[in-house]
Amino acid sequence: MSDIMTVMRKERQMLFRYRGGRMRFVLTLLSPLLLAFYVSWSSGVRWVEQPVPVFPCALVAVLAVIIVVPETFAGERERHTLETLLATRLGDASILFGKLGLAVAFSMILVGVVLTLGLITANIFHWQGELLLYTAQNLTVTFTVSLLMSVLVAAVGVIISLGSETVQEATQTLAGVVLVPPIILGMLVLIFRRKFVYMLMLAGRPISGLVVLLTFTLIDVLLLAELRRRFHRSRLLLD
Amino acid sequence: MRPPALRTEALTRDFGAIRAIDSLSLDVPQGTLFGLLGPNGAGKTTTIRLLLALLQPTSGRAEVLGLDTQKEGQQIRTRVGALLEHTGLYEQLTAEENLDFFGRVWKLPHAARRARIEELLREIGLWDRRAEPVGKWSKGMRQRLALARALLHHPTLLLLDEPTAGLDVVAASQVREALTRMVRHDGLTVVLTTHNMLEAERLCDTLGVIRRGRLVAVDQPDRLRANHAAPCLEIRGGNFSTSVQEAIRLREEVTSIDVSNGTLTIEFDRPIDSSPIVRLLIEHGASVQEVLKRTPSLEDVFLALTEDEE
Repeated sequence: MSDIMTVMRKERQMLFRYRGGRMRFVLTLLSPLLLAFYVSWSSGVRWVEQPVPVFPCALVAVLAVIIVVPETFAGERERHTLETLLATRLGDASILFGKLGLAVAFSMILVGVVLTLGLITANIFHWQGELLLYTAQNLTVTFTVSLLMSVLVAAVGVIISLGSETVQEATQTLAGVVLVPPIILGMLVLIFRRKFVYMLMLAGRPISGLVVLLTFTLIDVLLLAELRRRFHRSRLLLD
Repeated sequence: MRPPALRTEALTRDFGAIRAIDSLSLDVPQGTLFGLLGPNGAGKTTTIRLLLALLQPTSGRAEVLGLDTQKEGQQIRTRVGALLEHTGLYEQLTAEENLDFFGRVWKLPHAARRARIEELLREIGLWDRRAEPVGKWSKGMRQRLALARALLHHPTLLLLDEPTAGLDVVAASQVREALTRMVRHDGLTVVLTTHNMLEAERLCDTLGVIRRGRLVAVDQPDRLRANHAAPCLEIRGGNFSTSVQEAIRLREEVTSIDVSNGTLTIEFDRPIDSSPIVRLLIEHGASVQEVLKRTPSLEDVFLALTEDEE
């Protein structure tokens, strides 16, 4: 575990530390902050009482991972630091999960920022005489969905980064891959409008939500296992 | 008797149809400095990767510090320091942050880590610049820092891929002195690859010449010179006529003759006594002003060994 923390610490130190990095960091924060402000302002009390923050938070988590995760291995390869890292005593799992962990942690910090800003906005613009707070269920669902989405995209992103020569190649591939599911989903919604409304009604039931969460959890676990299986020092050098 | 620091037995590595390392068998005793010489693409870097268990052999085996590279890669990497083809430094991080990261990787306790970082940075003359991102540094400074990083955890074996590449004369000399000191006084074993023949000759106890993945010679530098390169006579004078050259050429130990700018150069296939040659020249009417018996350099040996393979 301490090795994973060591890798995460190094990844954090390097995050946005390049020419123009601070500006990129501010720009990265800008969209989630605006989103949090707008959605919480427009939805009012529902922001804290109903699962309204789930979508913006999951979106922010995915975007944050897309920004960070292509760097993980393609960046090391591009900067010629990968081989030296692999020549250390660090185990495969420590390197892999240290890098993946930082991407997920970064995304969850941004989710926390969104939730905090949303809460402040809701309280300021929709003050009802007492402090508005998230319900425990709302907070749990929001964090769980965001985490599951974050891990999902991070795992896919690391698999792509492992096989990419450059960060640009990894970013472009990941962006393409991440865009495919929403596009397909959108097309299906357009084709099966009525059935989709029925499905949404079903999803409103707690048992359906649980099934969705469990399905996502299973996909995440399978992806992480596949990632672990694919990660071999010798294959990385051959790429 | 101590086991060798490094032992390979018929080590072979293929990349598709290309055989990068071909039946490499090698023993490097502990506490010695071993140099691996070879042209580009000879397999030096692949050998180092195999020794660090970053690649698995196609066949054969390798042991590093008594550990099997196929089964005990992580233990090997724990005890070995490596400076590879690239410095492997994180350019956005400062020198201190780079060493701190690798110190944490090797689990040096906080106080020991701080002390070791200061000791090494002072030793390589970069302590005052420890807070600068290394991306702004010259190649030589980065190379020195990378060497410091390789030594951070007090390894018992150092694997160095071109350690003085890109260094100026003074810095390269400092690195060589430091390596010699560590081997002689601290009992460290060093395996390095180099293109620099002078460096190889001055620094290494034993040299291996590798070509197309095959080890074509292993010996001490002076014995390599004696056994693998032709001695040569350079005779300054005049009247090196065709008949003189023919007479010399008839001697069986002579391999080639060249006349240019009043100098007759004769190469031999074995150690020779120069007096019969000089006598023969004078008998055939040549004038001899100066005779220089040239000892073959390591470069001559290297060229001879690698050209033989063509």
